[in-house]
Amino acid sequence: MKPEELHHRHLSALVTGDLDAAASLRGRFSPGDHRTAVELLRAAVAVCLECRLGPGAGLGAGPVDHDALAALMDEIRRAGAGTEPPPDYLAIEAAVRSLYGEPHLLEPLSDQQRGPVLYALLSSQVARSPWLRANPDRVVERAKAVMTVWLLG
Amino acid sequence: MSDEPVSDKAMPGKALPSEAMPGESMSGESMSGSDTRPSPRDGDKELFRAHATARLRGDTETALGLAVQIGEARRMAHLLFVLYLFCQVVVEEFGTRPDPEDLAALTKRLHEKHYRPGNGFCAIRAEALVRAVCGESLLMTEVPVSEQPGYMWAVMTELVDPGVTDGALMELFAGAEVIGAEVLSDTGRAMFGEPFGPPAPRTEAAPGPGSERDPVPAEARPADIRPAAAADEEETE
Repeated sequence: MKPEELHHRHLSALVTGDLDAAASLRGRFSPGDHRTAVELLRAAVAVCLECRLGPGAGLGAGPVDHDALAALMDEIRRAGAGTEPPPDYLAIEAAVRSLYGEPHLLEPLSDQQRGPVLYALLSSQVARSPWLRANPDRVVERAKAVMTVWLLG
Repeated sequence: MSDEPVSDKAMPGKALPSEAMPGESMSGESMSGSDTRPSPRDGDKELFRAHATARLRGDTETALGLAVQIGEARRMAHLLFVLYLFCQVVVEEFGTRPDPEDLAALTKRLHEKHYRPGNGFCAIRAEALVRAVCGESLLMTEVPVSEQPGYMWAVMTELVDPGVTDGALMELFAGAEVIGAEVLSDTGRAMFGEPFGPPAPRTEAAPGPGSERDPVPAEARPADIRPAAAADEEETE
């Protein structure tokens, strides 16, 4: 499988919540692919968050709408209540705000730490929006377009 | 904010009699009537204030020495002291409803000042503690306790000018004590239906032996307030 197809299928599996498939696809990653997958996941999060927090996520938007952010975080905290260990909600907030003009907030998180944080955001938005879950390919294509801008400027 | 009169004796340390040295019973100490030294806890307060002064003025070496003196036995009391000082500094700077944009600017400054790859400094945790003071108390539980003093000092040293005057420091410390007393009385009311360290009228209780170790002259405080520490001891004896 070409790297591009591998990443497409990996992110698509994350969008549809097929974590077994995603894990098995990660088994075929070469070392540099993990970082690419995390960046592509972050681009997908940007795409999904645009409906909540406004357009341009990761592409120059900002500052974030603080009321909308508070509502989003409240929703994510409710969904995560009782989870052990609890999700790192502040890292999740940092990931959101990093897409709205505060990229420095994500710097302290390693790629390994970013993965679960970004996935928590992706799955929270997919859970709210059946359209996202039903159209993983559209989400992946949009995410790739965002990532192309990140890479090429 | 509570309307009750607050005594400067209602410091966090007063609620922690376990800070006495092992084997040193509080009642034993208070029975030694000829002992007029300031109580060890009053010394703690001066120590905490000296440490805070050194930290806020950027005198790292002195602060480190004093931190060693504060040691492990007083860590809980010191943690509370730092928390109340932090509350005072934050409220003085931002009030109780900070503008999110001002907070974001503070967070960015803290990130640029302290974050280096690999050192783990998460500026959003510092911001979370500020917001915790300003009404989002939930956030206090989302920053690991072991990291809280470090982030609080990062915020305080950013907000307080290193050239701060003695007078301004005294005001900060006094404000911190008022906040501490209010927190303790609110907590006591929430947990037990009555405040911790109640400023009970002195005349209601027989003049106990505890009063002899009271380091504050009677004329230095309102007549109807007596040390919370003495009240605590009588309740537990």
